[in-house]
Amino acid sequence: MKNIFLSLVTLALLSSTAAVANDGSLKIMCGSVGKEFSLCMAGVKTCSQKLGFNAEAVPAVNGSNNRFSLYSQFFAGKSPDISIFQIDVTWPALLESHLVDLRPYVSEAETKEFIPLLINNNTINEKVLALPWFIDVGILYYRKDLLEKYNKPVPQTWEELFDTAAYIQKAERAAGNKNMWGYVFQGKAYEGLTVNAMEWLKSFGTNFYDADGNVTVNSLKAKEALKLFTSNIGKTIPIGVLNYAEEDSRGTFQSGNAVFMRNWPYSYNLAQAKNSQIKGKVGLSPLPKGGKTGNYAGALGGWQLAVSKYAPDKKKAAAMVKCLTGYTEQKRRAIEGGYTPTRNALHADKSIARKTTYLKYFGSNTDHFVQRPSRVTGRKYNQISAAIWNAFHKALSQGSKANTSNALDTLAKKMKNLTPKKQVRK
Amino acid sequence: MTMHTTVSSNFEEDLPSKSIPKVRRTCPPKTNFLAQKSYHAWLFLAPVILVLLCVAAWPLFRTISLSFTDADLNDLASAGLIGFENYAFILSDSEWQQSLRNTILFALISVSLETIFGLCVALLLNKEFRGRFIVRTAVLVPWAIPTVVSAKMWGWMLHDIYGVMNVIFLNLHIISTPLAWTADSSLAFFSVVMVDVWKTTPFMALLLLAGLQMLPKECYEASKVDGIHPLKLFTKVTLPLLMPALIVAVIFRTLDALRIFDLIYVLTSGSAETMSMSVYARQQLFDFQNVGVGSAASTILFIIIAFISIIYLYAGKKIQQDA
Repeated sequence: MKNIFLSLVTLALLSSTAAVANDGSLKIMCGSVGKEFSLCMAGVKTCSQKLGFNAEAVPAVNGSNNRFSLYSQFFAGKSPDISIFQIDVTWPALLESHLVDLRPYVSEAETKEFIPLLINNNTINEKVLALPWFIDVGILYYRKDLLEKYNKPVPQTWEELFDTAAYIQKAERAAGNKNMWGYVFQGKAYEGLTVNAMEWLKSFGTNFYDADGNVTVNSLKAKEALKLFTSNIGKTIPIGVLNYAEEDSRGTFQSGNAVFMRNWPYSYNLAQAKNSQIKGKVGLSPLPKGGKTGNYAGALGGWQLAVSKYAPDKKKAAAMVKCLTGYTEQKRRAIEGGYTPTRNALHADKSIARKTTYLKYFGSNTDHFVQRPSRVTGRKYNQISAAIWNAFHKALSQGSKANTSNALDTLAKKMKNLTPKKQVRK
Repeated sequence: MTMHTTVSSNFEEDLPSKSIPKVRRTCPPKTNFLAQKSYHAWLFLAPVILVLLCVAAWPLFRTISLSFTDADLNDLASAGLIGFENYAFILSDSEWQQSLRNTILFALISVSLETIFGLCVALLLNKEFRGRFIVRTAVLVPWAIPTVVSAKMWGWMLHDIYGVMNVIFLNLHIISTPLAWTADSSLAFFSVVMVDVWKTTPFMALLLLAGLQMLPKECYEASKVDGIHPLKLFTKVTLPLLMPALIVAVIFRTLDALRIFDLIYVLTSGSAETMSMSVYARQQLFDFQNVGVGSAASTILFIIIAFISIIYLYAGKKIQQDA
């Protein structure tokens, strides 16, 4: 098996590098979810004309776990083929040794034009490793029509959400809508579940780690939060969520089979599109609080542009990154694609805010953003995240029978072992 | 060695023995002939050996040597030797133990089912009937679809909310509420086995059909004359004669099943509960960038597969000798 596996890897490497055979132009690897790639291509074209050199966009594989594997192989081979990589919020620490420090190319005043939270996220050991390109935040989608029909308010706490979900689900099923469920989210064993779990914990006033980097995933609040979700599996949450990624949960919600859904802002335009079964029936709200004293919490996602250490011309690459994350280009992306910008000036601009789903509904308040613990975990992020999603997945799959206390104690032990000891923490 | 001796003895017999003195008769022609023969053999084999060395031996050697290091995908050059540490880690890792159990159970159940169904299909297709050609071709369709595509297709068909399988089973009153085939951990394993059986039974059937068509007609004609019961004919004649083909087919499938990756990766949630050994190795290699641990996992998988193949080959030989 090994030989086949390795030769496949070699083959994949060869073909991926062959696909971007160097013709001297600067290559930018960007995502291709929905409209993403065509927007990237247009932006690269504009910027290359403006800067006066050839540049070309190359599509990356979708799904952040797979994309990380692809990038790792480029970096392991020290490949000069791709100069600029579009990287996830959790990757700067993981890819630190392969990315160029952008400080020589970007002045401090220029970095201050970005939302501070994002620049901080991309700053590892005082090196600015990437410039933020667009933001994603976890939000709650609800069926406006159903809440109105049953005279229920938009839920402010998770407890309220599950009560409303149970009520509407029961009534709708009695009315013949047999497949109706209360709440769907991303419950597959992958990064998305870590994101959801972090939002639950934060809404209950806790997190995976405390501010000093101590593991707090087995705090009483965390156990209470997980208990609430495991006890709703099979009742208001379909067991199927255990295999749902973003698009699967959207499928269930958009086919009219769920009252509530947690997802990123991209689903809104699709749910409100002409061919959608729930067009005009969708409302947006922050994810609920955990109990009356909890917090509103939305996980911070989104993508950054970084320059590879193996890029042939780092100066040109940095200029391209600056242009693509610049004011004009981000404004165009916000208007044409609804992508949430990362610049303070664009958040303040009302005409832009109206065009992007997130800013339109939530404004530019960043207080309830929660970041994944990639700074504390450093190079171990993927391993710790996998430990988290596996533990939560296992507990959820046991439903109301799950012993959430034991599950989180075991997870905490595992996380303590994995968390780097001498990590420099801010 | 055996081949050489047979060749030389045949050669000696063919020679007109009386006219030539004994010494000249045996030695010189034999060496020339054999040397030339083996020279040509090596010449023709060289490209294949070269290719095999590049694509099989070298990666295998690299993997095994990397498995004794703390290699990191971020910086392969600075890898240092750490002895058997990776192996110790893997063998004590509960996720690895789970993946080992999953893989072996999967291989056992799916290969058994595929052998039974494949044999039934092969026996059926071995009979003459109208439209046999079309049926033979149609049977191969699941095997012809790339696994990733069929896994994704089954993923949609088995979806808990909008999957067609739930609708069919509900209408047939086999189930009373829709099931989450790929998400529910108690069902996910069953779903993987089912899709694998659906996909690979044609392969099994084809291999066995080829074996069936090679069987000597005389045995069947003789048994017809003797009026032997069909069931007895099957157990006493067909099955023993088919054994070599059956063993080859089962070995192929077992080796394939032990390194199952794509179906589980695409169809299930990817949790440690449903992980296979290959999924574990890939996760260590690329997601966690632990090339050392990933290589060690791959090496263990390689050893397991090699071990099982040897047992099969040995058992096969034994069965044939006994028969």
